[in-house]
Amino acid sequence: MLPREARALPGRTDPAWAPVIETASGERVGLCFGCGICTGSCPLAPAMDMLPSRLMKAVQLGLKERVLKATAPYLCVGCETCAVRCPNGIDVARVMDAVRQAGLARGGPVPRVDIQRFHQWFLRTVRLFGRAHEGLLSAGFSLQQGRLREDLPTGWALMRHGRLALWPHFIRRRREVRRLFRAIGQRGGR
Amino acid sequence: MNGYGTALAVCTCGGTLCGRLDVERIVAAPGFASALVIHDLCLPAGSARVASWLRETAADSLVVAACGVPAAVQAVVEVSRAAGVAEHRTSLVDLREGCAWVHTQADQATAKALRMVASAAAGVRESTPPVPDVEVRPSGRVLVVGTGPGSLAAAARLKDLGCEAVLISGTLERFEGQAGEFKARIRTDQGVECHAVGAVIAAGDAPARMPAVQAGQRVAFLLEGDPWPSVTESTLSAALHLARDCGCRVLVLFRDMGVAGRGLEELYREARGSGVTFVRMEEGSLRIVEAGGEWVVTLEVPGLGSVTETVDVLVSGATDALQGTRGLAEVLGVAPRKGGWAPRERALLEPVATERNGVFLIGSARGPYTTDQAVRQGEAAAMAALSVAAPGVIAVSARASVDVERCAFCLTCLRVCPHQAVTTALGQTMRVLPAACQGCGVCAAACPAGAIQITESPNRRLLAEMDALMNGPPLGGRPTVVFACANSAVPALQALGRLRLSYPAQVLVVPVPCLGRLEAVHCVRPLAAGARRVLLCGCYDRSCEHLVGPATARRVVERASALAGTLGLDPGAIHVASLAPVDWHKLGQILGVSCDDGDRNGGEASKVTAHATA
Repeated sequence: MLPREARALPGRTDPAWAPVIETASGERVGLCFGCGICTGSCPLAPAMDMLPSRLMKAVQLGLKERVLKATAPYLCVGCETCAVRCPNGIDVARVMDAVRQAGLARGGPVPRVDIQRFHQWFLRTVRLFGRAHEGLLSAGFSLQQGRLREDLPTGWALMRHGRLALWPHFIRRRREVRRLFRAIGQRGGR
Repeated sequence: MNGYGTALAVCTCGGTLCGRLDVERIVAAPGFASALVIHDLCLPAGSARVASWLRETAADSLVVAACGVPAAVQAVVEVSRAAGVAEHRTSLVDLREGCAWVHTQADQATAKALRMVASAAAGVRESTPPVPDVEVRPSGRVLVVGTGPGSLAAAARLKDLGCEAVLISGTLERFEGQAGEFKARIRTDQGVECHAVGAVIAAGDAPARMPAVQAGQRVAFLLEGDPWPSVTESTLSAALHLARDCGCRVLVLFRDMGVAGRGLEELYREARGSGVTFVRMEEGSLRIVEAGGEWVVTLEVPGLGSVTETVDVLVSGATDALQGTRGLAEVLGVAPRKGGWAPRERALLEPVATERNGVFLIGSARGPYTTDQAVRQGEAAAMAALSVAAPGVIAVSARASVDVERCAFCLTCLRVCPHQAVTTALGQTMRVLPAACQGCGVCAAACPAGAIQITESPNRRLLAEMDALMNGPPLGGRPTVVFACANSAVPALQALGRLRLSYPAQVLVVPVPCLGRLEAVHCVRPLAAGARRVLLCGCYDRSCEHLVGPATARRVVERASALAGTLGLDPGAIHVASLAPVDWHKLGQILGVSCDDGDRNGGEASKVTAHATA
């Protein structure tokens, strides 16, 4: 099932796009023969608009517009069950990641802005404190998404049970973490 | 027909049938000169007793009511020989798997048994002696057409087996005769050659060559072969080479990626890894339009909607047989299938044989096979050809024969015979080739004069058996007559019997060699005699060994239904059903619901089916 927005798009293939994804992910996408094990194993597949095996076929065919409009890559949590089971040894999660990267590189809004923002808040806390900090992550995300009203009761309950720390845990070599981020940024990653 | 009469011997299968059938009533069946009950037909003592009794009665025909196992069949043959009764004057009735084990109510089962016995008696009285044996003398020579790997392998194996292989490269122009004695005329570069051979193994032309493709171009391969396989070794290697070495964009559109066999699986993987894109086409999902020197390919991909790709080169029909191969099948008298390959796919067929005895097709005559597969087929064909072509003498009796007094020389039988078994020449009568005839009866049904008949069961006999079957003690409901094809419905019925699944006793079975044996009159006659339904149970279209059975049956049912209507009978009472020999559950269901008290008398057979298909 295609995302509704994508159905209207012309299905013209762009054969040059598949090699781009292959290089970005380091996976030989062509090896996929469409068995569907990745879809069968994916815990998020029922919620996806484009199933993992279909997405692989779309990448092979070079259906750039349709793939970049799909929300499926943003639902991928990177559990790698697909990679474990793929008979051709393809790391489908890495391909999903490469698709996300391609979407970001193109610029413009991505299909799931909320998920992208969540990722960014996560990385922000890691860069600041050297470790993920749920407190800042959830507060910042909630504010940015305008969900404070809904999330506040949950946040308060978590804090009361000692599950949400207000003060972050600073690691000792935060400078090195920041250096990591700088190096990746220089190489074009986000 | 002299009046010594027909004798009846009933075997109670060690007494076990006594509980399910009223054996006394069966032994007292009317119309027999004498009757005997025994308990052990399949044992030497039992059959000896029958033989000596038969000699005493001086009967000229015999009906044995027993089981249907091979031991019983053999026992009847021995009895007939020992007592001096012609074998064609004997008939074995299976009262066990065909009656006692499948019908739950003893009175109905007995009534059916009486009808079956009466039918067999009517049949033996109309039986005709078999056609005298004809001697076929193969010379040990086998014609091998083609010089590819398959043909060479066949020729080498033939030599090992002691046969002479005539290996020829050329066009087969004429081919006639029967297995063991064929005459072939071939046109080669040096002229025309004629050969007398016992069998022919033919391979087709070498696979198609690729059209010229330049580096960097976009190529699409369109593989629409039907059925399996639709991908060839040459296609995969070409696709790989273009993608990996020539920088081409390669798209392969296929129906069935059959890559079993050494090397193909690895080749396929390598092609995928090198960037060849494989897309499976659904039926009717493809549209190709030529636009300005380019090809615009649009297809429906499941889950991805409509996809369009533009290519520079389109390689299509890569798996269709070449013209030469099509001509080959025609000359050899073998029906082709889609794509030009031959023979038509049939489930029960050996891997290299065709519907014509003694004609074997291998390699690129049969399908887009790889070199490996062609070599194996060549060797298999050589071994199979041995049985019909090895030097010696084979005595064959034709299973069909022509009554020249009735024959009008319309050539219908020659044209409809699926096995090329009817021949003639100027100044000669119609002749049946004994080594080619497979006894299907299609000719007998087609002959307008009834001049050609199956010797084992001429029309008079079939009608007499049917009439006797319809006249008998009540069965507890109107009968349903089932014409059962020997290759599908008969084994299915035997399976029901062996599994002891019950179906209504109103089902009366008339076995036929093939549904192609039947004409409209056979279907209407039981209706006129009071049957509730007439079922023609046979093979699927793709499985018919005689090619035309199911299609003939459908035509016949249409005509018969119209005929029934004009006679004031129920035109909707005649049906065709297709089965495989293993479809006993399907048959059980059909039988269960075809009788008057569908639910009550349905019996276990249909209930098992209901459970199995729920």
